[in-house]
Amino acid sequence: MLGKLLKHEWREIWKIPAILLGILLVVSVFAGSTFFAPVWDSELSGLGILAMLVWMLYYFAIIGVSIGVTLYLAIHFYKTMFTDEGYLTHTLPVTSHELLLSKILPMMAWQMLATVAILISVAIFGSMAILALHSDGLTFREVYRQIFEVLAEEGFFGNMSLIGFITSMLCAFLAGIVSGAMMIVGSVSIGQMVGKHKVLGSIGAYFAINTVVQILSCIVFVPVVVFKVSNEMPESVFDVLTPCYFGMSVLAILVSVGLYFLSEYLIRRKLNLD
Amino acid sequence: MAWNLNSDRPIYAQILERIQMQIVSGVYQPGTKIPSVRELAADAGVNPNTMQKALAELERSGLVMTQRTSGRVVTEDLNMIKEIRNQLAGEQVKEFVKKMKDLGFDREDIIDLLTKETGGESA
Amino acid sequence: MSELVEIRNLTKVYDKKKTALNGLNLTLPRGRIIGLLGPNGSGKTTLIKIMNGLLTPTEGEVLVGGEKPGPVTKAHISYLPERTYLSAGKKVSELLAFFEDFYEDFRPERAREMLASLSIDENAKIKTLSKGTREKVQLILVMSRDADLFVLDEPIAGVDPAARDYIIRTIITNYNENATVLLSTHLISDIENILDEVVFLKEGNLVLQATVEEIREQKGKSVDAYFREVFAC
Repeated sequence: MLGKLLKHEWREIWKIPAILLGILLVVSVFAGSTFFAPVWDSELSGLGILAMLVWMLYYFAIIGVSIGVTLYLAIHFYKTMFTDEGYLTHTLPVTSHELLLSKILPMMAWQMLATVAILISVAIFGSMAILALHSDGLTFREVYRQIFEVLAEEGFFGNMSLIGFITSMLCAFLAGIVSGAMMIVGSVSIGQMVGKHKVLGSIGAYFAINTVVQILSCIVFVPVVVFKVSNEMPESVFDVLTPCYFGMSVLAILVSVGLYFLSEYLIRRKLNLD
Repeated sequence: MAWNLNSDRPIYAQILERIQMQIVSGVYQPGTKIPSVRELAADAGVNPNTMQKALAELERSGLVMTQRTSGRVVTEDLNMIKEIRNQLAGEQVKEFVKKMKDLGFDREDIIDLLTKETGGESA
Repeated sequence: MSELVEIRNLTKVYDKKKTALNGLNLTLPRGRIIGLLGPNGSGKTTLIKIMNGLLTPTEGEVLVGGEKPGPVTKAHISYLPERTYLSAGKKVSELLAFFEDFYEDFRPERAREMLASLSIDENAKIKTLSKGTREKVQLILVMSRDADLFVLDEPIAGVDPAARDYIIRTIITNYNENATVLLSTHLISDIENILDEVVFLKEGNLVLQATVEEIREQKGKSVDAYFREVFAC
């Protein structure tokens, strides 16, 4: 049943996020192409202002897309679970675990795709800027080869603490995707317990969970960092950042697991559709 | 509903009469199949169990018979159909005569009226 | 297991003050068409939603085929809510595929036949259909299952006489002989001929459970007339 649920869920939600990410990529190419126009040395000062406006548009597109995808997924979850459509969703012969997973897994996939798309978009924008501003006929490939060489010269690839740092960032990235989805699911499910103002309840729950997570990370990390720094001077900044990122990942996963079981319990035992 | 059933009299009796009527008047010819309980119930807008009961009663009287292969069929016994027809006619006449008497008509008046109504010369 | 539905001491209180069901005890047999009757606010929809697992009871329980509401009962109950649950962006054909995927007892050919008889285009999106047509699509989906229990919440409220006849016809033609149909309504005269049994609810309490025949014989009046008498203000 989970497979069927996933199939139908994916079919239903893929369009809007895909369009949003498509728009982002178009905007980043458009924004990057401004570098090829004679922006700075033009006599027309208007062109410079126009280019700045395009970059601002790009900046807002990045923010808009990440918020847009999250918001769309949250609204879709709310709509299919707790409005009239919930009458069909909750009368399907599936368990609450299957139902929740069929919502969470596509959510995670889209959070991940959105993050990857933003990275690609920044890469496009950045490389177009570099290509345009170097007049000595660099190619796209050349730019990346040079970046790679510089990193190799700096001993980047043999540096254990740097590799550790990158791994910790990756962990934090993945944990962020998991917790991003679980924050949506958890807060919307908790919001349903609030009598009449369910949407407001969900938003409130979202900020409440966020605050609790912030406080928790402070409680856990501030002593760790203080201890590390005061004990012996760390060799590099990574020695402090790496454990922080790992710690954040663990915390995010723990909170996500907690939210999962809480949501499952609420849906199985406390469901009350209007 | 197409069958115009009213709630003052038992539904079961009304649908029984109606099907009898349809057999007698030839809507369902002797020896032919009649629709299934489900179809008749859907047409009449009545509970299938009620329809089932009415058909069972018809079966008991012999007017319809169950055949293993083709469901329920109307009897081929023309005499029986005729008998039921006469019986229904008798009931109608009795009812009519009673009403006319209530209106103060005597036997002569009734016959006179009937002859006129059916296009004949009055006595 | 002779009884299909068992309801024990079922109580539902909304917001800690509004009692919708008050310790209801009730059993429903198999193979019957049962009318769940009562004025607005008598607890009909609350009972139906609890049976379908959309509401959590405050106390007591509902068992369908011996099971509490869950994946097992949902596979055997076909439910028509009093509102439209079809998502507006889907096509009729997508809904058929959806039902076929999740309900093993769904008979797509039966649904297609009924859609065709009403000339409803399978490629039409739900949002392009009129309210009346959407309701018919929903009824067709619900009645195209070979479920053990059909729970129909106010199937004929607010429809014109032609649609009402169509709905009643669809119900009678499609339910399985061993299945039970529970349908709630406050418009009794329209459907009393199709009922075997009635359950009267008033303010969350059971007033009466009887066969239509019993009411006609013992009270000497139609269910509708008797209902008016019981609920006269």
